[in-house]
Amino acid sequence: MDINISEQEDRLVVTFKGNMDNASIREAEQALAPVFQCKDRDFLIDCSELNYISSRGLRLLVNLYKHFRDCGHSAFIRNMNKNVREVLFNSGFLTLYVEE
Amino acid sequence: MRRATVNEYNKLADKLANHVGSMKYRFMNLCVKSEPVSLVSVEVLIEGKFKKLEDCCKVSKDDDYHFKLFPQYDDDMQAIMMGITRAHPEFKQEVKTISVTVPDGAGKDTDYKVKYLELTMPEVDDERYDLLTDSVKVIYDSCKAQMERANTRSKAVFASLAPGETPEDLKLLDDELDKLNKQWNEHRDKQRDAKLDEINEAYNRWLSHMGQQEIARMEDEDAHGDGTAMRMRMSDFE
Repeated sequence: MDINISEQEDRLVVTFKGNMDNASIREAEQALAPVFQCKDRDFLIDCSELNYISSRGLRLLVNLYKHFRDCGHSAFIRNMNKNVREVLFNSGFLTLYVEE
Repeated sequence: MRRATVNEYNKLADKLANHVGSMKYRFMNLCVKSEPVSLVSVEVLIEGKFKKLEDCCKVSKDDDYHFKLFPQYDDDMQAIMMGITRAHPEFKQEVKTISVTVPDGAGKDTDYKVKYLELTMPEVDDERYDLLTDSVKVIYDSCKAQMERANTRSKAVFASLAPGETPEDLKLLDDELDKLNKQWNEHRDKQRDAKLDEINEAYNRWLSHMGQQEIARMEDEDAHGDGTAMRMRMSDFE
C-alpha cells in the first residue's frame, strides 16, 4: 500500500493507494508516524485509490480520528469506493469522520 | 453437416456445461452462505451404519447464514453433530429447543419441547476472506483450464472432420463454436463474480461489526479516561 501525505488549505491530507490489508498495516503505521505528531490542523483522508480495508485498517482509522479529535481538530474523509463506504457507513465511522 | 461433427459439437457443449457446473458446486461448498448442497457430504453413523443426513433429520433454513436440523429421534442428535463436524468443522453448532403446542381435540393443549440443531456459517474474517478469495481464484482458473483443454481436443477432431464438410457448414460450425464458448465463458465469469460478491458481502458484515467494536473500544477508553491520563503524563515533560 502506498501512502502519500500532503498539506492542502491548512489541512493535512493522507492519500491511501492500494489495499490496506493486515500484511501492510505495520508499514502503514510507520508511514503515518508524522501524522500522529501533527496537532495544529484538521485532517483529511482521501480514499480515491483505496481498494480494500481490513479490520486492522479500521483500528488505524479510529486511532487517527482519536488523535485529531483529542487535539481539537476535525477529521474528514472523501472518495471512498462502494465497498469501503459500505463498511465505514455500517460500522458508524461516518459519524466520526465528516464525509466530503 | 456430418453427424460426427454434430456429435462432437454436442460432446463439447456437454463438457463445457459440466466444467462450469462442477465449478459452481465447488463454490457452493466454500460455505459463505448456508447452501443446502453443502450438507450432501454429511454422513451420520447410527447403530453402526452410515446414513445420509436427510434420512435422520429434517433440514430447514430461515436465513442465508443458518440451518436448522430437526432429528427424527432426539437420541441421534450427538451422531448428527459428529457427522457435521466430520464434513464441516467450520460450522458453529448449537442445540436449541422450541415449544410446540399440540391441541388434543378435547379443548386441551399440550406443550412439547422440540430439540433442534442450529448450524451457523462461519464468519468471514480477515483470514477467511483471504482464504476464500484465493480458493475462488484457484477453482475458477482450474475450470478455465479444463474448458480450454476441452476446446483444444474438439478442435483437433473438427479439423479431422473438416475435409468432408462444405465451406458453408464450416462457417456455420465456427459461428456456433464461438457462440457456445461465449455463452459458457460468460456463465462461468458470472458465477465467479457472484461468489466474490457473496464473500465481500459476508466480509463487509464482519468488518462492520469489527468497526463498531473499535468505536466502542474508543468510547470505553474515553469514559475511563485512559487517553487523558496518558496525555497528562506526557504534558509534564513538554
